[in-house]
Amino acid sequence: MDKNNKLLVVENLKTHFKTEDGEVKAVNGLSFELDYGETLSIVGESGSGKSVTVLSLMRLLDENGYIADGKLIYKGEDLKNLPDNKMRKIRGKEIAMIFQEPMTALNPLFTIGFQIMEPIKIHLNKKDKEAKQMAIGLLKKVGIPEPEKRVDQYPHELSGGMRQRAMIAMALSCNPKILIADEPTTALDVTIQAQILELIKELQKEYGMAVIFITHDLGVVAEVSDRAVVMYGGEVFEQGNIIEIFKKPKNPYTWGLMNSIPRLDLEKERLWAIPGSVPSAAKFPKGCKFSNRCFLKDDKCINDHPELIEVEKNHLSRCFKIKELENEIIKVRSGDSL
Amino acid sequence: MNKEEIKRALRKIVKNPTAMLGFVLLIIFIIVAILAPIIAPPDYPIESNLKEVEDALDDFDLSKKTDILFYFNNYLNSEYQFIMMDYPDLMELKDTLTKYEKNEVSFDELYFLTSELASYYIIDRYYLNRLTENVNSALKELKREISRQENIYKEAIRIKTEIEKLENTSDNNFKKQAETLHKNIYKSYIKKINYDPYIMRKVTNRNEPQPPSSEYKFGVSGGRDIFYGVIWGTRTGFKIGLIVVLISSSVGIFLGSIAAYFGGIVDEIIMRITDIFLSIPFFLGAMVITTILGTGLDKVMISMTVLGWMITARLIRGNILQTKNEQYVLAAKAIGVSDWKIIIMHILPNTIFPVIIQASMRIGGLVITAAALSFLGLGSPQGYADWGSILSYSRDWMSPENWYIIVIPGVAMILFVLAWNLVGDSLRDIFDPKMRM
Repeated sequence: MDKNNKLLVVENLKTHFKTEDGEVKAVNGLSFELDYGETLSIVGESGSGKSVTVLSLMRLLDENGYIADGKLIYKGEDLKNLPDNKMRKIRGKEIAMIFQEPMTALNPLFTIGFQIMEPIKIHLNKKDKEAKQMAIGLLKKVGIPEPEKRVDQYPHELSGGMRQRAMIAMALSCNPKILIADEPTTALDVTIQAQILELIKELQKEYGMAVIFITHDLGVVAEVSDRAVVMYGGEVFEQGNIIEIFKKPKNPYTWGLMNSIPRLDLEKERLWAIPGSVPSAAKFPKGCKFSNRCFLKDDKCINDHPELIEVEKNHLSRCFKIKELENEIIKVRSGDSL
Repeated sequence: MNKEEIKRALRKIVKNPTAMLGFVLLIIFIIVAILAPIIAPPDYPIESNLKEVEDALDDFDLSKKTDILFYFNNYLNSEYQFIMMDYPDLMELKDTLTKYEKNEVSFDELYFLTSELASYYIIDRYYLNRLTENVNSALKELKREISRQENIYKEAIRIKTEIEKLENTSDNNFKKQAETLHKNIYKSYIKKINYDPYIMRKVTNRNEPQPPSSEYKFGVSGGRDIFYGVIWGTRTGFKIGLIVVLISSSVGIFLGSIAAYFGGIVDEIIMRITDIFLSIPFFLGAMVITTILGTGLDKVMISMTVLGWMITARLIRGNILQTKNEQYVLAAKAIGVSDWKIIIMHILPNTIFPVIIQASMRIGGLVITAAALSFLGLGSPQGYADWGSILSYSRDWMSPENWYIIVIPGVAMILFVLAWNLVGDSLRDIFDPKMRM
């Protein structure tokens, strides 16, 4: 019964792509829950399946992609089986999305006002004049100076940060219950990044919406979210409360990501990095998918596929080497404090 | 497009001298094309009886009433006398034809009647020969000929009743009625003798060129007035360019969008057909098709359309495929915009401009190709007002002292092409979002 009270429940989501090399399992058995007003981060490197997860949620996958299995229960209704016209009413109104590249996510031919008015006209059935007033109000809310002037400007007349703010205004226009932010700060300057994150946090409080953050930057995750899902190769590697994950990471991959964050408080000669890069979807090792890059791997990791297990309450991890990792972390951290 | 946009576009044109030049040239060409009958009035043919009526009407009093009616009737007799006489015989032939088709009369009877009519010059001997060669097609041609003559007969009857009506008009209304009738009959006369103002009249029977003079401002080439040809050739230029570009671009847009939209096997088939057409050298292909279809301006236009759609198809297909994957299309989907609205509002406007620009630039090139075909004698008929035809008269007379026979139509053509290219270029500057700054 608990599940029906949740805003969004994703259960065992499997998204596959048909390619020339055969079926690629871009997302393989992902489950998470999202409460009203909560922030969830989905973390992972490029190609880990995080963007595919949200595109599955919005049902906006490319033609060759499809949801093979699982449930996407939004307010008690499975989005997977919803007819297209009903799904269209959910997009923008119930679940809105902002994109990584504000440069390309706005149509260069239309004014930003026109583009913000589009969802207002579609979902709230407002007339042009009223919609325009709402657009101006939204631009003001997202902190764009001189909104009356900006509303008639074209995307190319705005800076990157401004455009991202305009995108946020567009996403907020119909007061959605869930805001999906697909790497919203990746393409922006560091100073602007902080502003945008702050803005999203403020607006989240004001509108009371849930936010799904997609990012590869654990720094961002620590900043904004309550819980996190760490993905690798289409699988969940670690999932749990953000403080727990930062305090006691239970997966070498998470540990690697955490060590890849530049830190000013520690004097280190070089920034540590996870060796290698994410292989293409068809070329993951057959045992643990991370085994070819993991510093703790042994034969078991290479040959057997680990299952996702609950290490502590509400803290899941997919690894055979949790004990060894804990020892390693204690060693490193005691070194830090010395 | 709002006011601000239009202002911005105008500012861009005015600021850019080459764009300005393009638009000014184009506007001049458009004005010349529209005002051609005033700038170079065609030499309408004179019919002596109608001329008498005209003179009488110019200086009208009631005493001339009988004269006017006389000349009207005279016109009717001189133009339609034969058809009035021949009509019963023609109807008999028509009857026999239908009977023959129902097998009620023999071929010999039909042949006999036809030969009789041919001996009175009511129908051409040609049909008689055709009857012995190929009966079925001869019958078709005969029917066409009969219905053509029938139409002439109907026209004669119409004019006859109109004249009778005029005879019974009261004196007060007579002048007005007679004027309308005169205009009416003159129009039907122009149509009857197939007068075409696009045909440059022959001003002399000598073939050698004559330099510009007060009478013939641009000189005479091939016995025809170059000035008249250049002015009316503007219309021909627009006709060729616009019609070919409009049709071939529409075909290209249609096929290209279908290929991009459906993808898969449909895409494959359409694009391979496009490749095959693209592998035909344009000019050579146009020559071959024109030769097969027969010469004439319409045939030239058909051949250029058949070979002119491929680039547009490729362009629009590529653009749609690219735009389809743009993030703003995904973003539009993510806010719940419906599919057809995405195609119309977000995909087409971002893909159609390159096509429009490319089309406007193509117009100039097409006029050149048509001129080249005309130069080779494959294009417009003898004497047709077309820059290429005027150039073709110069073939035997190319020498420095005859510069005007090449330079004048050549300059007209170059300016026309230049105008379209500059306009296309400035259209790109105005509409291409990537060049907006």
